[in-house]
Amino acid sequence: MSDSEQQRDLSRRNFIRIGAAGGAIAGLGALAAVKITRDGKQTSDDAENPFEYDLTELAHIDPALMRYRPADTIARNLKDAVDLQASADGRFHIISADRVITYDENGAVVATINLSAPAHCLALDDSGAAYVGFTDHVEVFDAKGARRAAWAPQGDRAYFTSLAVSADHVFIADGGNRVVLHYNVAGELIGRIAEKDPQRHIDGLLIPSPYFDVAVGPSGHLWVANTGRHRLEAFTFDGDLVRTWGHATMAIEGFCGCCNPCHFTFLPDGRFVTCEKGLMRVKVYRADGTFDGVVAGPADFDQDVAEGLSVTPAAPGVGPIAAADAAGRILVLNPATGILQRFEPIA
Amino acid sequence: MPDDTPHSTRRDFLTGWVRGSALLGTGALAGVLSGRSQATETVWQIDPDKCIQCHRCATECVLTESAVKCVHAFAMCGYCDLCTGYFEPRPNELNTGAENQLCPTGALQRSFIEDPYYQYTIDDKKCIGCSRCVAGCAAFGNGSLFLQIRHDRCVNCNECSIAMACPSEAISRVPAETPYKLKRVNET
Repeated sequence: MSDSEQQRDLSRRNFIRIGAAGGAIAGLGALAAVKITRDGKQTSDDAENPFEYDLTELAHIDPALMRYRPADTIARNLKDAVDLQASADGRFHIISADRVITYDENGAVVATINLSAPAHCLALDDSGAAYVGFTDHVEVFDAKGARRAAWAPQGDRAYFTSLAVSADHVFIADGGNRVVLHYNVAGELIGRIAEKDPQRHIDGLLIPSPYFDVAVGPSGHLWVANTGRHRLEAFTFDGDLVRTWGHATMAIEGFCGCCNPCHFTFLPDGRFVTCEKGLMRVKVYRADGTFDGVVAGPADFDQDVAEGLSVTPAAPGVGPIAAADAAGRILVLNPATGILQRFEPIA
Repeated sequence: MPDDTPHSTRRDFLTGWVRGSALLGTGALAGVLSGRSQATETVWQIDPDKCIQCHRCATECVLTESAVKCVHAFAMCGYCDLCTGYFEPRPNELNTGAENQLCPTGALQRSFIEDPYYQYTIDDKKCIGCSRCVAGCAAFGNGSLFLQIRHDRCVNCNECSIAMACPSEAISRVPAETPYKLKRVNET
């Protein structure tokens, strides 16, 4: 083979090599730029969404604000859960569709009450009796799970979202009628609280979504989540407005979105634990309403998804639910993934 | 010994082949016609529960202005002052200033009803189906804003280019007599 033939042969070989390498690079580039979609067809992978609704920056929480850390995961697969309550004996109770399930502090089921229909909310009194809120009425069960009473329904517009019990008083948050109904333990309606009343300087409730929580605080006042106004309001049992706190902001010290806090509860020392939907956050506020710190932020709930648990797309705006045990630990239920976690204070 | 076995002659073979081909062709024609008939009885639509607000409805439609528009289920709306479908995540103020609006074309209109309620309506001519408002509403609110293929605009392509690009497979054919998948208030 002459030199010229050899050169020509090498050139051809090089050409083929270069072509193959270039083709491979082009192929890899094409793979990166396209995406297989339904029916095996390809579409451009448009990572840059010019219309993206981006909450990434807002979801970041300064680590210095974290006051709690995850201690353990108590239960999973609680996707039907809609309410969570802790009792003084260390147990906690969940409304899951048409059942009240009681767990010990290790997450073992110790009791179940079967209900006649899916319920929305739950409260327990000091005797262990359970008050269960359905769409338009309340049923009462004794500590052994036997039904003792079914109170009169409150009409087509009623939509009960939360219950609170204190001694002889039962308070029902009726989101459909935007009012807190005040009952005695015998099931007699004795008052209506938080309705608009300019003479008593009460603005009235703004409840854009079916999240409307009530609880009786350590000071003996009835606290009401006026979610559309992004604040908590305290009333006497006679319906006088005592004080309010809270404001709307995406910043960490306030309540975000259209209607928050979606749930709240109290720590044994009187501080508030608040839950927000949308940008899922669980935070602690001091008894005077000033911001204290964060229990769980969006990253904690993203972890649920990272573990392979999907969020129900048909249930937008689902928010976490919190309860506090006697030791000051906070139980947080994410209904979207069905995970119940316990958070403990950072020493 | 005579051979009694019936023979298939070349003519028989060809005749049978031609008959078979004719039958096959008729069947194929019937299939095509049937397919066309079926195509006219179904239309494309978005399942709002599967939509992940990826924006492709705005960019993948064969029409210059997408056939996809936002629609509003008023019965589900909270009529909020701070509407997360209307306002940027961190608005300067809760007013109609363009800098506060989430919609890139100003298609979502805000009007005062009575204290403290506001109504939000969609200007179809401005809506490009980008789903930003849908994402904002779904993230914090009741999900009352959602996308639908508008059949006064859709040309009902055999292969919907948006459906092919849709990463959540939210678009499928539905019966033409029920062409929309609307959101409704949950009765329970």
